[in-house]
Amino acid sequence: MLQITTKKEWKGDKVMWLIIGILIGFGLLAVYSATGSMAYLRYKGNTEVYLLKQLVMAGIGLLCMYACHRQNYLIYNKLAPVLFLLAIPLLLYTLAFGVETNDAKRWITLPVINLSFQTSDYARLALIMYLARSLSNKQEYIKDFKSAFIPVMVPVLLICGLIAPANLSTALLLFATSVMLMFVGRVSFKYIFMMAFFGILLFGTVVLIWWFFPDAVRVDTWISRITDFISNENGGGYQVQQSKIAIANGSWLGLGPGNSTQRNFLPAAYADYIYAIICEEYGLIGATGILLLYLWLLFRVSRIVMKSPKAFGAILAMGLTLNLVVQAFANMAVSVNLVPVTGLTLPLVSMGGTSVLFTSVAFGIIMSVSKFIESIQEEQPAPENELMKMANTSPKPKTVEDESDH
Amino acid sequence: MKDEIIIRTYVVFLLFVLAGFLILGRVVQIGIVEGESWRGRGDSLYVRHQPIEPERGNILSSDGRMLVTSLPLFEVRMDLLAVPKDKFVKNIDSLALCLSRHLNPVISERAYRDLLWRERQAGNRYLLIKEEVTYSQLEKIKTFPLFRLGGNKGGLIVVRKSKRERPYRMLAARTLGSVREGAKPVGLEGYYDDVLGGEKGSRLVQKVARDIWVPVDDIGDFEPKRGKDIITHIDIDLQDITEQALYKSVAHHQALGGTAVVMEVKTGAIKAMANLVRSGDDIGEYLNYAVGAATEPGSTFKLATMMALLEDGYIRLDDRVDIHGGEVELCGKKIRDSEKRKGSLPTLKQVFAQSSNVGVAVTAQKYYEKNAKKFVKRLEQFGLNERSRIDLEGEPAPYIKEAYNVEQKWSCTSIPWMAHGYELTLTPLQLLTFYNAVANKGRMMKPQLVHQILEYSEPVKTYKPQVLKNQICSHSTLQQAMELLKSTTDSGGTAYALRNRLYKVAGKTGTAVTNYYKGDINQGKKYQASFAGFFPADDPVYSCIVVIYEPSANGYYGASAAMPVFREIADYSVASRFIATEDQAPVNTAPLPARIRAGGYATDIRTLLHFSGVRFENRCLNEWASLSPTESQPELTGINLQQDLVPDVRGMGLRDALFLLENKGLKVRLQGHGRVRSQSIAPGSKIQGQTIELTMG
Repeated sequence: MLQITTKKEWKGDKVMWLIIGILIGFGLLAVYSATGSMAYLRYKGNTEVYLLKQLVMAGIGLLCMYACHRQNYLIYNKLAPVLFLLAIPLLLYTLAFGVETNDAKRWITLPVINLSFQTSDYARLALIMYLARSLSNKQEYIKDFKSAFIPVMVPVLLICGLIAPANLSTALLLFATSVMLMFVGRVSFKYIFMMAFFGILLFGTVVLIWWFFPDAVRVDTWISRITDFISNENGGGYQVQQSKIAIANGSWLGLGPGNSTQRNFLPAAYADYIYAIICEEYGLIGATGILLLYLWLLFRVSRIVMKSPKAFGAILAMGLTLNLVVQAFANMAVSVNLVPVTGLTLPLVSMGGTSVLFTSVAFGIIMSVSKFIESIQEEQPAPENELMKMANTSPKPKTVEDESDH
Repeated sequence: MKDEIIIRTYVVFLLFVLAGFLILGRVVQIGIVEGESWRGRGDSLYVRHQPIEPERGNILSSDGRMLVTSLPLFEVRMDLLAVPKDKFVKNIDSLALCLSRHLNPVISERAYRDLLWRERQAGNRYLLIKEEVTYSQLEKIKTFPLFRLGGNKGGLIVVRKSKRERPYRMLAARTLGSVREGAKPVGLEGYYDDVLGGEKGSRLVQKVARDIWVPVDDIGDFEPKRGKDIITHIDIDLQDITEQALYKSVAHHQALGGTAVVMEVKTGAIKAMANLVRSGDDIGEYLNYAVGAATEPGSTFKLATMMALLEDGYIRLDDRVDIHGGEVELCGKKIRDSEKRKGSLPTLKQVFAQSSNVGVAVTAQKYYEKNAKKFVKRLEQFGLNERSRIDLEGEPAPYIKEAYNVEQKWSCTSIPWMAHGYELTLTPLQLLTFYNAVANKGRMMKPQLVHQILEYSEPVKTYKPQVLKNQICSHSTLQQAMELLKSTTDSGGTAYALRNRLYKVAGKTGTAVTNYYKGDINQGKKYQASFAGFFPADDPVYSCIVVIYEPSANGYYGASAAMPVFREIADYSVASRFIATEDQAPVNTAPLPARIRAGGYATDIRTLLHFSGVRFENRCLNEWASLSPTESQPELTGINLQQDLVPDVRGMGLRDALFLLENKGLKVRLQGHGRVRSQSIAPGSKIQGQTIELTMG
């Protein structure tokens, strides 16, 4: 580990590595504090148990990031179709035979290694990689309906449609991320609007399925959450009230690390409502800090987009980052009661099991792209504007492998 | 092309900046603008973790039959504010009607309606509807108007409680003990409280009014851990015989109460322990005399005196002793035998067999008057000064005076009176432990009620027989003690009535006067009749003590009040041992898997079958299932638990069957033991509160 912390081994945008490090560190602090009461009840006051678990997960996550960022990012271009095709049967299997928790089948257990994970976590990653490949391959004729829009749209609707019955919020976020990615990938405006229309159509279909198979889809849960959100009696349901109290306790500067009281009353304080605990302990200052870290991450990725000589790297990095940032913003929006309650975690910060691994793989891939950008910068230390010009006129740089002939 | 991508990227980025402003705006709004009011509500929305009581473990008999179990019971409450006003107005009349008609006819429909309105006005979110509701009643209540909408909209709150139930009612009730809210549990329930109690879980509850807490959804719950089960040594059939025989005697002799304990000689295992107390016309298990009542034992103690004399080598059993015709004055006080005796001087063996107080007192006085320390030391050697350490609370230490200790009022009378069982106190169990040691070739065993502790039907702890004293006296003393105890059933002996052709008893009667020191004896003496011994005399299996307190009619002697109880216990034990050895043979012929018949909780059965590798046809979709034999392989089918139909409980254990039937409002009568073989009402019949008879076996 010592060896790989040297500059030589960890490549890519150092600022981004720093942001990830800060987020993970923040996560360790917040999770340690938020799990206090749970650890007290389950492990008789041995509060370090969850901290250790989180540390181990962070360690494994860093290893994943390291391994993924060491690869040439073009590997992911080759892998994308395979991973995508695998996602479809996996999601179908989950819907049919998945492990049921809270009336929803979201998890499956891998046989031999006995690891359970949410197939939607995998499917998100696979779809975005596939989408990046698809969009970049079709850049030349991207405004075309038949040859570009249709082949891009179908996979999105398919995957989101398969996720929606058990996990509507994830499906919605993935859909939004995909639309944003299509937007970045130069899909024309009218198709973007058409996409929204298809989305509504898809949602209608899912509700229709519920009409005939009420057990397969959780429409009743959705309805109750949305009505809870709208009715806003007493300022919201139990979780919402407790979350608001936490934020109010924090006020400007917060109560200080480890001083949260709401962690005892907020269900899943260490996951879904970690942002409220951060607000409570670090105040508006901490809340702003966390939010800025995610924005900064997005900003750094837009630099990759700018510098990337080819569309695949740019769209891949942007897509994966969007996926995480969208989830982060959604989580924060739930905590401050901007949107109805969903079960989303704050990526890199919340305590989580296997989902941490998928997040780490995603970051690893982003850093792999970043590493590549750095390597071409080192070889061609051209000023930025010149590079942009070069990119704009798009002659093939000699140092870059050809991407389009896959 | 590249430009377009970059521009669009910035557009997306801007979108997130906007979203960021929205989120932070909310943080400012909640945390700072509305901050004060939310912080204030922090107190009013007070929540805490409320413990969830775990299910208490069962107490089982030695063959695994249920002596004590927990049955589920519910408390029904109502959150009146959970119901929207329009629905409340629409349904209150019909709800009031249902409550009045089905739950409590004493309260009229109108009164219920007023109550519900009043409490809603008062904002009661936890109105008590009914305590102690059974499962079937609860199912009914759930169909009432409003309540059928469930907890969130209909305001129905169901609190799960449980009730301790003894399927065999009074049997060994005091030994098993009881659990009462706010008091320390007694009996086995008390001694093994930690084991039976399990571990508490906890649930997040929210305060809605003073002292009233409502669960917050299902979030933040920690499941409690069920208590472990304990298997006792108690033999239900023997306990039943013991209890019945004791009851007969207490009733017949109009006694204050009585106790009888049966102990396995080699292990100290308590096979039966009955305690009856009369209160008015009622005779029931209320006090544990066997463990807690230290009294002057009377003549049963003479065994110890004789053994001390033998151990010290002062006497031989054929020594003759002058009993002064059955009455003598020692130290200015008279000692009398129960009857005047004439004729030749009896031997010491005869003195013991005929229970002559004078004979024992005079002999003891002769050897120990100047030598009391030696006598007391012998009693200590026999373990008579120590507790039996049975696994029950409340055992007092024996009281035996220190030799010549004036503070303990040692006097000239002490030796002769102690010699025939006065001026010292022992509990029945302590005396039995001593007799048991004599039966067990001098090895004193600790009396033990509990055999094993089970967790999920697997033994997690086994209590091995424990030796209190390895050898209480010499071999020759033991032999002679045995001879003395057998001599009581000889002709002229006090226990002659126990003589029979089938087996031989060794034992000693006792009749103690309990109020001799309380002034005027002419007011009427009070007695304590007892019998202690073991059987069969030549190879003792069980030892047993019977004590009848204050018999007031039909004879008060140990031989007339206590001995018949002993006789019934011994007769049954010996008989059942003969039977038991005879029918052991067919038990080993294991049934073919296809012939298995069982019923119970479907998941449990499936687990068991998978575990034991039995192949079966799974046709069960219900929670409860029955396994029935077919030609090829057993078939698992669901049990119909429809509201008002009698379920099929054949093949089930008692616990499952009781749970299902009693929850449906049926009264259950039992016959035999084992699994349910047949039921008197056919499955699928309509339930109308009948009594169903189960034949077990």
